[in-house]
Amino acid sequence: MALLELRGIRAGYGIGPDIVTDVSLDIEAGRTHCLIGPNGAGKSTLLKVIAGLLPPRAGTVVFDGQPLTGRRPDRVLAGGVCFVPQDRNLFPEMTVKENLVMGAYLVRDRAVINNRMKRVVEMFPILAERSHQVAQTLSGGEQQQLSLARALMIEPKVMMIDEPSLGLAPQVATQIFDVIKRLGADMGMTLLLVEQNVRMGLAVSDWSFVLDLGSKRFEGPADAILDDPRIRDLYLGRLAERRERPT
Amino acid sequence: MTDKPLDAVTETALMSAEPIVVDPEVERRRRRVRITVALVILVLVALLPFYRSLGAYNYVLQIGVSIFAWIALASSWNILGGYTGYISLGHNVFYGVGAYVSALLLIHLGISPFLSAALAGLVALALGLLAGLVTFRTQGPSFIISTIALLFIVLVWFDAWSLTGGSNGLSLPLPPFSREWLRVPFYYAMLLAALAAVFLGHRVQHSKFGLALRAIGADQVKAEVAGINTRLFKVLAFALSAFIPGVVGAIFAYSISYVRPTIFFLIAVGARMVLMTIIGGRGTVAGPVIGATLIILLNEASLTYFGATELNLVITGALLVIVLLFFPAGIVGSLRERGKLPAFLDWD
Amino acid sequence: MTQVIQVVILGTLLGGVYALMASGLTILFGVMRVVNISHAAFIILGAFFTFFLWESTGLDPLLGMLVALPVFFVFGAVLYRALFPRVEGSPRFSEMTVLLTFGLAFMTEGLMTYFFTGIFRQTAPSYRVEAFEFGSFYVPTAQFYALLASVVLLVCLWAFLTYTHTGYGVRATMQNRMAAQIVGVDVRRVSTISFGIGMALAGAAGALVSFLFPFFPARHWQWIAILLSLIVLGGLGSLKGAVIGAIGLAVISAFVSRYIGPVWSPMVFYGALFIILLVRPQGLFGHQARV
Repeated sequence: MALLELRGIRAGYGIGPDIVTDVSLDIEAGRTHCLIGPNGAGKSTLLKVIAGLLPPRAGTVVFDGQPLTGRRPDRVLAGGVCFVPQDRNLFPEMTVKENLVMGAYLVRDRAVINNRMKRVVEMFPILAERSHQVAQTLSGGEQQQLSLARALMIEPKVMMIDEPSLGLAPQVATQIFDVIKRLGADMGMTLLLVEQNVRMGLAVSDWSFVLDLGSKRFEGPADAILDDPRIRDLYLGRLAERRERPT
Repeated sequence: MTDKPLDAVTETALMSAEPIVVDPEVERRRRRVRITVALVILVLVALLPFYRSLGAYNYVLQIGVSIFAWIALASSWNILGGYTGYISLGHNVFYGVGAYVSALLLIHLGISPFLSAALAGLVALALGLLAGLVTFRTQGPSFIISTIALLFIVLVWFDAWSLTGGSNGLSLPLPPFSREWLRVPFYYAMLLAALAAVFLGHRVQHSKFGLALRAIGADQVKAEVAGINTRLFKVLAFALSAFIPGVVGAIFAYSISYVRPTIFFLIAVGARMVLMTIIGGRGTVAGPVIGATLIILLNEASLTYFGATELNLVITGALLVIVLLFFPAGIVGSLRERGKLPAFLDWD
Repeated sequence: MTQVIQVVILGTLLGGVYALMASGLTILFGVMRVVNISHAAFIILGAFFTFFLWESTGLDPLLGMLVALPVFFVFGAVLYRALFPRVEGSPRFSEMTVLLTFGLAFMTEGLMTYFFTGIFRQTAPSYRVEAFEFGSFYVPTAQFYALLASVVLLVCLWAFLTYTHTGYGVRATMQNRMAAQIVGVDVRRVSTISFGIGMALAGAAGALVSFLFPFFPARHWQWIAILLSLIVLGGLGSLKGAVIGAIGLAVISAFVSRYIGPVWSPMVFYGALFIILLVRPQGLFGHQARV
C-alpha cells in the first residue's frame, strides 16, 4: 500500500468550475515524485486539497492508512504531511528564527524545537547568518530556503513543494534543487514536487505524474517520461487540440 | 485576503466570460412581456394623481414621492456599488449637498429648485469627481471607510457653517402651489428623476463603460491587464452616481420646505441606499427599484403599526444581515441564479 | 506655554483610550480581515453593561470593566461562530464583513434604544469630578485612571501576542493567514479567540466610556467614524499604527478643540485620513499588498 493515496479527487474554488476533475495517484514512501503539466492543469489545486486547504468536491485522500479528506490543515500537518506553497508564504515581519520556530508551531517542547533548528540551519547555513533579520528583507533564494527550512521543522513524513524555482535566478534555482535532491535521495524523504521547469524537476525525481486539464494523463519513471513523445504533444500540441474541443 | 477567495473571483470571472446560449425566440417573448408590464405600470403610476377621489390623496402621493426618490438614489448607488463592487457608505453626501445648493439658490436668488435641480446635480457630480480622486487612492475596506469619513467631514462642516444655518438648518419659502395640489408637482418631478436614474442604470448596463465597470468588479487586476484605466473608470462611475442624488436632494428639500444636516447627512440615510440595492440585487437594473419600493412600503407599515423608530433601525439592520448571510445576490440575483426570474423583472 | 502643555496632557489622556478602542478593531482586521463597523456600538453596549452594574450594585466602573472583559469575550466568540463562517469563502470577504457589521451596528443601536432609551447616561464614581494638580497643571482623575486602565490592557494584549503560544498563532495569522495554516495554526480557533478579544476590548473601553463621557446609543456612529479613520490612517491591521495614530491625533484634536472650537475636533481624524490617502494610501504602517 502506498504511503499517500488519492482516489477520484475532484476540486475547484468557490462557485467556480472544477479545476481538478478526477485524479487518482499513489505516493510511495521514500520516493521523490514530480507532478508536471501545463499551466492551469490543476497541480497546485491538487496540493492544496492534500494539505487540507481546499476541501475536495469528491474523492478521498488516505495517508498511512488514515483518511485525511476534509481534515483541517493543522491536523493534516500533525499527521506528517507538509506543504511548501509556491509564493513562499513566510511571516514577513518575523525574523528568520521566529519563522523557523513558527514552523514547529505544533511542537510545544522548547528543547525539541531548538534541536531541530540546529539541524535545519546546518542544511541552510545562510539562515544562521540571517537569523535575526526580518523575513521580508531576504532575497528570493533565501526566502525559498527559509520556506523549505520552516517546513522541515515539523519533521514531515511527506513534503509537498510547489514550484520551488519560481521567480529565482537559474543558479539560485540550481542550489534549491540540490537541497531537494539531498532531502530525497540522501535523506530518504518522501517528496511530491510541482515544477514548471520540467527538466530540472524530473532530474531530481524518481517518478512522475503528468496532469492536464484537471486529470492525470499518464505516469512513469522520471527518466523515461522526459523522452516520452506524449510530453511533447502535451506542451506543444495542446493549443491546437484545445481549439477543436468545445469548452 | 487568503488565496482562496481571490482564486474564486478569478474563476468566476473566467466563467462569466463564456457566452450564455439564449434561444432568440424565448428572449423576444421575454422582452415583449417586460415592455408591456413596464408600460402598464408606468401609465398607472403616471395617472395616479388624476384619481382625486382617492382616500388619503396627499399621503399616497407623498409615499409615491418617497418611493421615486429612493428608486433614484438606490439606482444611482448601484452604478458604483453594484457594478464595480466599491461600496460607498457616504453616498448621501451628494443627496444632501444637492439639497443645500438649491435651497440656498432659492433663499438668496429666488430660483425655483425645479430649475436649479440640474445645477445641484452638477455640483454633486463635481464633488463626486473630487471625492473619487482621493478615495480611489485606496481600495477594499479602506475605500469604504474613507467614504464614511467623507460623510462625517460634511456633517461636521454643515453642522457648524453659518451659511447653511448650522445644525438648525434652513427654512425654505413654501412652493407657490395651492394646498390641494401641493404634492402633484413633486410627484411628477420625482417620477422623472427615478425614470432618469433607471434609464441611466440601463444605459450603463449595456454600454462599454458598464462592461468595464463590471470587469473591475469581477477582478480589478485582470481589468487593468486588459487595458482598462481602472482608476479613471472608477472615478467617472463615482461622479456619475453622484449626479442624480444631487437632483433628488434638491427636489426633496423643496418638498419638505427645510434642510437640516440630520435629514441628509446621517449615516442611516446612506445605509438605506445600500440596503435597498442589496436586497433588490446588486448590479441589476431592476434590483434597486424593487428594493426601494419594498423598503419604503415596509417602513411605512412599520411606522403605522409600531410607530417607534428604533424598531425601524433593528429591522433595517436585521434585513441587511439576513440578506447578506442567506441570499447575498438579492431578490433579482437570487431568482436569476435559480432560473426563476420572471420576465417582467428581467430588465438587464 | 503652560496652556500648550496642558492641552498635550489632556490630548494624551484621551488618546490612550482611543488607542484601546482602536486596538480591538485592529486585531479583528489583522487576524480575520473583518472590518467591524459595529465595534463602537458594542463599546456603548459595554458602557450600558457597566452602567447598570454600577446602578444596581454600586460596583465601581473600573471593577465593572473586569466583569465586562470575560462576558464580552464569550459574547464575541459566540457572535463570530454564529455569523462569520457562513461568509468566510465569499469573494470580497472584507467588504462583505463591512456590510454585515454595518447591519449589526444598526441592530445593536436599535435594540439599545428600545430597551435602554436614548437618554444620556454616565456612571458617577467619586473620582469623576476630581483632579490631580501638580504645579500649574492638572490631570482629571477619571481620565488618568482610564489611561492607566488602557495602558494595562494594551500591555496585557502585547504580552499575550508576544509571549504565548496562541499569541504567536494570532500574530502569524495577522501577518500571513495562508502561511499560518501551513505551519499548523488552527485559524478558525485563532479567529474565534481574536474576535473574543476584540469584543472584550470593546467591553472594557465601554466601561471607561461610562464615566468619561455621557453616552447614548446613537453616539456610536461618531466614534466608529473616528476609530475607523484612525485604523486606516495607521495602516489597516497594524497595532503600532493604531496606537501611535490614536495618541497623535487625539493631541492634535485637543488643540483644535481648545483653539478653534470643540465642534471641529473630530474633523482632525477625518481630515487626517484624507491627507494620508493622498500621501501614503496604505497608511502610516501599512503594507501596500495587504489591503
